Amino acid sequence: MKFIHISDIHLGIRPDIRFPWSDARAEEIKKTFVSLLKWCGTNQVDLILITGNLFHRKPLQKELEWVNQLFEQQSETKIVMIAGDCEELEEGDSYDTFEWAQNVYFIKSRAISSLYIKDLDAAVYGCSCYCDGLNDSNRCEHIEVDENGSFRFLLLNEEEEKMTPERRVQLAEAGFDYIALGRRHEPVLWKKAQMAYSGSLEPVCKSDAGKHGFILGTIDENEMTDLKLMVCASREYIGIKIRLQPDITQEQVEEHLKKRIEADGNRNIYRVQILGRYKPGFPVEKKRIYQLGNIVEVNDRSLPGYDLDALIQEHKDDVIGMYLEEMSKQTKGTKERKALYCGLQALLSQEGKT
Amino acid sequence: MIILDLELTHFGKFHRKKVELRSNVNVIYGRNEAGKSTVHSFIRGMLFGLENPRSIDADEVRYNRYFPWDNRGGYEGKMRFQTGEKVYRLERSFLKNNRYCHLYCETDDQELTPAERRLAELLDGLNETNFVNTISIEQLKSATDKGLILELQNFISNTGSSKSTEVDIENARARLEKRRDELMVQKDLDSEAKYPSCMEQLQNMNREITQIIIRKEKKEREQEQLQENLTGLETSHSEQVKQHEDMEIAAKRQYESALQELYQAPDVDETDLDIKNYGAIMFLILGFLFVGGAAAMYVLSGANRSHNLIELLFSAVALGMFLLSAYSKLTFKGKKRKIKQDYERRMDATKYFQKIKRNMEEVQKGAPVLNVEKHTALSAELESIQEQLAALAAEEDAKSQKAAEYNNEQERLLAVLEENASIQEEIDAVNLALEIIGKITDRVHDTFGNRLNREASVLLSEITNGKYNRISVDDEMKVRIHTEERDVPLESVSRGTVEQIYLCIRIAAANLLWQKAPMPFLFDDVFAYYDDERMENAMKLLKNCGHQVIIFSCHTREKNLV
Repeated sequence: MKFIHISDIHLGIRPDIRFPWSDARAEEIKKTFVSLLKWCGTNQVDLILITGNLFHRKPLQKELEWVNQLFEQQSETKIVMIAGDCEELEEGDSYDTFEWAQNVYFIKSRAISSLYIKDLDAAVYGCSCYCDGLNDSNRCEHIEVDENGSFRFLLLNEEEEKMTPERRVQLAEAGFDYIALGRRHEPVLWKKAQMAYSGSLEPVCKSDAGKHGFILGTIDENEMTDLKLMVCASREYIGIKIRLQPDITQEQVEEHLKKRIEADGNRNIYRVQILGRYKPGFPVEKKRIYQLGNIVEVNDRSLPGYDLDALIQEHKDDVIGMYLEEMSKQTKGTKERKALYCGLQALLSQEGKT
Repeated sequence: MIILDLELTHFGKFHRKKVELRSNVNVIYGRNEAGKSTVHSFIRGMLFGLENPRSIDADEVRYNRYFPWDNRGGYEGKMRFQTGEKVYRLERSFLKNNRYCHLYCETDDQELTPAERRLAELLDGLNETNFVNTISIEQLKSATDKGLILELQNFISNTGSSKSTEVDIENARARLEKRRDELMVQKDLDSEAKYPSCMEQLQNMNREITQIIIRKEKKEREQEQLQENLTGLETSHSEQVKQHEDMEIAAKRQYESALQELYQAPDVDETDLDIKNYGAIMFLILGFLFVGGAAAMYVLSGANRSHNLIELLFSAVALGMFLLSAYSKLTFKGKKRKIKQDYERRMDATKYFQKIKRNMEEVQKGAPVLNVEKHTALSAELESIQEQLAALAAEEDAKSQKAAEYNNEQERLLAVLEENASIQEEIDAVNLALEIIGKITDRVHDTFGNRLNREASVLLSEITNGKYNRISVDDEMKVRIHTEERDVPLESVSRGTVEQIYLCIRIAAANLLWQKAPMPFLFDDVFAYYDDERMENAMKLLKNCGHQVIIFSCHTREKNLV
């Protein structure tokens, strides 16, 4: 049997909302989902497991209808899904009461329950998240995997913190052929334990670094013959670190970034972190970095390249020395460090002027 | 430090020009363009060089300004000075491509290297900045009096700190404040203000959606109840119909069997009960007739015995008739009894039939009728609830749509808030820097400022003959002048007085900074605005201040006074 596991598609999200590519990204996320479903059809995938957060928020009726239509078109494929934490499932809401196509199974119980898919001879266990945050997935030790079905799956939508090694062992020993986990956006595959966070299908916010896609598995005669991450996301968020030195100019920084971006692909979106020391009075101009395009974040943590020890020595008798001394009495934090340097710069830039 | 002599080897218009100086007050007199400022600049250049690496542009001008007019070979000079017990000689070349600085201690007859650093040590913290701010006194350059006051305040801020100050604290503050303002502008306050209301709207919307869901659930329950009632009504009706049909069938069957029975019952009616035994009577009459016949025969044939046989025959017949009559009578009784019995049976059957028929008719009449009114009412109610449910679903969807919009907006605002927070962090940092600088300024002012005020007040009182006997520099570095009667703001005294205040503060500052080894004062046309009296007082003051004083002047006043 061939199955795929997807999660956290977040239909309806608008990533990088203040950037020009936001709308295009929103469309892309939909597109990837649609083409994946088509792919499932052409590749005879028997089962799609969706571990929550198919929608970015409580879905609208028309969104449900749209997705249902897509599901219905893959009538040969069975689809089992649970609700994730973002979807705010509520008893009696349109998500809860929606009538899905024949091939779609929505496990809506708060506690782990199971359903049996006769065509596949498979039992799928799982539970959904509700808007009140109450569910019962914790009680996995009590899951009784009954004899029904040759294949047994478990679907959970749980934060990563809960997925301690002990819990993973506990889950792995519960007797499932595959445990599909959702909520974490970066994929993690524990091949031996046969469980995985598939991660989000497409990266949906700037913190979703790395490759994204879905988990593809094949089980024959109760044995997992293949389990791997298939990359299908159209873009990637890539972090770039730049370490400044006082002799590096803005132009050099931009040139370096341009080259990096060209090398890594223009399709990707970048987060730039600037570290190191810059020439006093010449910090990197963030605006110009953003103008290079495809840059969603410039995190400037660089500091002016003052030699504090030398300055203390040089200015031990004057205001600057007093300032440095007073500053050294402050608690050490980001704010204090910033204050130290911006004050120092203001004082030092007066030097020589009368 | 006392400057002993100068040699302007090649400097400006001068070549090998020697100037000897006394340890107390010197006046270098000359008309305009005579080169007084050149000498002044020469002293400054000898002490600090002509090029300050920190302000290239201004020094380029200075460098060019004093570049020797007619000697292309050199741009240099010598200066001898005394510090403590020792005499030093300083030689400098200012040429860009041949710059040097040599320092010799003539007393010990040795060269001191590295010259710049050793010179700095000898100068005891005097650097170009505080040279300009304290001991080198020029006529205030500021064009306006307001600018002058600012300059003075600025000067006080600086001298307020300590001798090696090169820091314009007020300017630094202004820079930081400007930076803070710039940052403030960057903050998207509109979006920040919108956030709470957006959140509230989103929450309200979600609450409304929940309300709708609750209402929907209630309606759904009602719908179920109604549906149940309706189905109940329908099933009970159909059950009744079914039951009735069964009854009807049973009644019909009974009716038919009763009818059958009725058919089978003897066909006797009431009239049959009045049946007469005419046979017996007829036989009796016939018997009597035959008896009569026999008797007649006997009478008639009395004589005729031939008729005996006939008579006999008649009698026998008569007897036979009698017998028949008797028999008939006998059997008739039985017959009649039977008829009676039959009649009763028939009556029973008829009665029973009637009863069954009535029963059947009643059953037929009692066919169950559906409560149409109730059914219609229920159906209508159900329909209306279904409509309401559809309306609620539509409302839910509309509200969800709205909530999704708020959600989008909220996410956008969150991104803004994040940005604002990081800007705020910068602002906080700037504020902290300002706070610390303020603290330092206060502290500096507290210690140094009080002494400066005291010293300067004494000096000013001397110059003004006691008119202004107290000046003070307040927390905001504003100068206030106190007379016996009142406080006078700096803006309302004359330019001359402002210059005098400036002078006093400078001298006071220099006194405080170089208490042990007084530095020479250089005055460049400072006294133009002084009246004669104050001029005299100022000269007296300078003579007794313990510093070497070099006055550059284009007036003879100073010369004469000295």
